[in-house]
Amino acid sequence: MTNIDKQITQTLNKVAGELDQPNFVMPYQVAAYKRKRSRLLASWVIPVSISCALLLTISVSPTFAAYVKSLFDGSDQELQYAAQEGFSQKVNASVTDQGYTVEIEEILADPMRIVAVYSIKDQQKNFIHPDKLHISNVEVTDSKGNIIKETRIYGVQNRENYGYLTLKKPGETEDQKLVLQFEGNQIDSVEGNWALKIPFDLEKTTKASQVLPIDKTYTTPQGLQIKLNSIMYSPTAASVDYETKWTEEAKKRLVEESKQVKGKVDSADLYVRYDDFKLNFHVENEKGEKVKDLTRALDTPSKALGEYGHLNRQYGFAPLSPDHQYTLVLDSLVKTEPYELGISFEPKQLADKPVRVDMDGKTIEIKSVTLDEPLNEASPKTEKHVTILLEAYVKDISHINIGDTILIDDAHKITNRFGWTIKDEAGKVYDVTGGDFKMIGKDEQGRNHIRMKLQSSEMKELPQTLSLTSELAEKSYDLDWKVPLPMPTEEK
Amino acid sequence: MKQNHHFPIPKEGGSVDFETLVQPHLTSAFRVAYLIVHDYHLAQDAVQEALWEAYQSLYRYDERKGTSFRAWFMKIVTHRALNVVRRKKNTEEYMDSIDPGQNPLESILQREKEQQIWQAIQLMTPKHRSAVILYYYEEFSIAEIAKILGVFEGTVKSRLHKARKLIAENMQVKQEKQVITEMGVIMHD
Repeated sequence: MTNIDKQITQTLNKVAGELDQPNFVMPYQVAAYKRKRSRLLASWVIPVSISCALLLTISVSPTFAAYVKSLFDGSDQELQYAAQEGFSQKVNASVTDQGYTVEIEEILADPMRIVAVYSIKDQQKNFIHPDKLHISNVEVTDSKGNIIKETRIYGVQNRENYGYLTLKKPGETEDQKLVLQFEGNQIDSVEGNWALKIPFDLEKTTKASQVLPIDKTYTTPQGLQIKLNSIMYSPTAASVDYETKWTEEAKKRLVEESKQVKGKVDSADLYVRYDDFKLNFHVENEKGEKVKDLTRALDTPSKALGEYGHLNRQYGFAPLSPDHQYTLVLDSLVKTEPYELGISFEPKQLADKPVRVDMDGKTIEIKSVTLDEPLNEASPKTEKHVTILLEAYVKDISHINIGDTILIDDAHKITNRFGWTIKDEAGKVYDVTGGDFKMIGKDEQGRNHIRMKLQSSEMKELPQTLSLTSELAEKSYDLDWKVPLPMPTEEK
Repeated sequence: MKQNHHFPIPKEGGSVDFETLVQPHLTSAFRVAYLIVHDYHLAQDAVQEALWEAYQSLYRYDERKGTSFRAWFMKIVTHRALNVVRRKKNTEEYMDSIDPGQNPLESILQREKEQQIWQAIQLMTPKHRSAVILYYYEEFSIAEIAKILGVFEGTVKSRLHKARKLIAENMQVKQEKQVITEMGVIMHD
């Protein structure tokens, strides 16, 4: 190698070596969740004739030979393993309308989630991409026909030929024999009726699941009490159930913090951010190897147990191997707090160079003020909005809120807005109508490097002076609470 | 509950899953993508897309054909990164948009020569840049780079030659430029 060869290698190693690696989602982990719109659209759905629905018996595939053909083979690893263990139920129920056949081929259901695999084929038996189907209704009923509320929210993950429909855990009922109703009303641009009723059974997977008590409590230095109640193991996932509560002292502090942040409506009642926090957990084995996080895949909502942030939540992850010892680790608490970051500048100054202000260990830099396409969904793309591009270097701040709207009065639709304030030299306030946030990485001082765009459709011409002030940010507090997890036993 | 197959972490000797194959190469894949794209988030997107592609076409990967999984995966990553650059803007606009002075990583390159080298790499066309990164950073051989980029070995050599020339010109070191012209490209293999 010549000297220059060495220098090129050295330079590239130095640049690349400074990069923090982001997290990647393994393809089988991705659940591109489509939030159910049809709840709102329910009245538009054409009533589905029961006669076109099929009621079928199910054969459970208990053998490995059956697994080989399982459609979960190309799905999440946890689902593959569960299918391998014989928990998948072959269905092969189909309905044909307008030349298209919709078929539910397999169901995997346990106390954590229900996943159904479906396909669409045309008259020539060619696969149609599953995202061409507009699903108009999905619900699960018990044997008496009662709809199980939790299952009304579902996610769809589309692969080349198959769609994977995931419904939340059917915890509302003790019934082990349930029926999935699946309806579609449009494939590509063709309207029609595709409705299927599929009975399925939870008995086998429920028997294979266990709930074990944990009963450990910890209070973070910020005053959040965390009580781990129990852990549930099922064939497709594991989940820790926990409760949160603020201490009396912390509650007072949260009230004080809220007084600092009034939002845009001064007369509005104080909005205290008891629920605006997030806990980051992970599970690791004795070698420090992390277990796959499934919280998003299971998507269990938090339940309010009382006022003032008294919540019940779950942390979900992949099933554990009996060959290892596992520990639940609480890594951090992320909390929304008042956060002031301010800068005043004359837009014409930017022609020469960016405007930069350093204060209290924070740096804010205005890069440009331009007219750009709207960043909000509501404005027509043909409009041009004043766009301020700024960068900030801040410690422990993981997100700066662009705008945070709190509905004060549902009946009168009064909203209070928090976030950035844009003011001109005359004190006129312009609402932030759009924005963009990007975490770039860390600077040499270990501060988070943030890039933001703030837009206002109200600003028709550029004022002489602009001042920007932020109001709220998400601050991350490192924690290190470790709890060994009880492992499932062979016998229940 | 029988749990023999419920391993979040694959056991040695067991069937090798996708994550086991890809995990050891993720860090360098992301770094290669970043060096080509120059944008943290776009590089992340490129690698994420590459993961999808690799996962879906894993059946096409055949070790017996003599290609390592690393080279096979890096081929997908490189092409995804180059696609990201193409999608972002056309090459000329993209090059114009790069402002090396604004790069936060600039500060870690203390030595003037390193800064000049990095600046020159940033300003190259993506096809020259990817050859430089695969050769100098990933240490692939000319033959491997040719396979990855889908070009002849001679093309790789000429791209590397031109890249080194651009770097040398940027450094404005006449003496070194002459050495490069005389020596050509030194191959790893």
